[in-house]
Amino acid sequence: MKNKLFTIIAAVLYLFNTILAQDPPPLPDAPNQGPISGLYILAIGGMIIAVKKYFDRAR
Amino acid sequence: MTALDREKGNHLIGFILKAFCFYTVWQILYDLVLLPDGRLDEFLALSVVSNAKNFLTILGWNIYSLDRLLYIEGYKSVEILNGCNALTLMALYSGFIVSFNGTFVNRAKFLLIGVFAIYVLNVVRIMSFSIATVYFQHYWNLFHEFSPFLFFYPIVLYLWYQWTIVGQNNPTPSYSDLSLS
Repeated sequence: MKNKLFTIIAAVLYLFNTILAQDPPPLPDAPNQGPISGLYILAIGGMIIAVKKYFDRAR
Repeated sequence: MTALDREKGNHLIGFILKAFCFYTVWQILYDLVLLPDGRLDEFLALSVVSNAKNFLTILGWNIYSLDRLLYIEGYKSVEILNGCNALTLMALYSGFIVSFNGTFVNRAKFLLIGVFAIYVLNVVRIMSFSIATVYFQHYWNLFHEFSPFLFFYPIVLYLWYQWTIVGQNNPTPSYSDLSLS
């Protein structure tokens, strides 16, 4: 009797989980992609800082 | 040109050579080891997605993630590609710190702080991309194009500038400083 009750409870819980579990909503469209642009500009900025520092130190 | 000018010119050439070597080694390491292995790129992309999702959930957004995709229901998703995970930017930042003179301890501090700051800023940037799909999807590409100038570059340039000041005050002793002559 105890075993039967346990089986019924487990089956009910499993079924509830299956019924209530939902996938995330579907993707509406192709994704946006966000690579980082303009790294060369940053590199030039770094170069300017370094040159300025070295030549300021020279004075 | 004075001897001092010449010495500083040599330091600058040394900086450029060190930076060139660093980026060459980095590119070879990335192309031959890290990219085929894929775990570092994967870790950065997935952890950025996970953190951005968690923070947006805390802020009350109904947001979902699927592998490298992050999306708010009913709006376009944001995909974190290898180029979006800021690894290249971390390498670029580190190259400057390694190449410019300074003590080992300070250099380690600047590397850790900078790389961590770039990671956090990337999470914030990806969060803003997701919110941008809701409020101004039409301008998303423009926002994305200028986002590094908004999130990353001011901080990176500031840290580089600070490093030149710290490094200048505590430069690494050169061979000429150590010689007895």
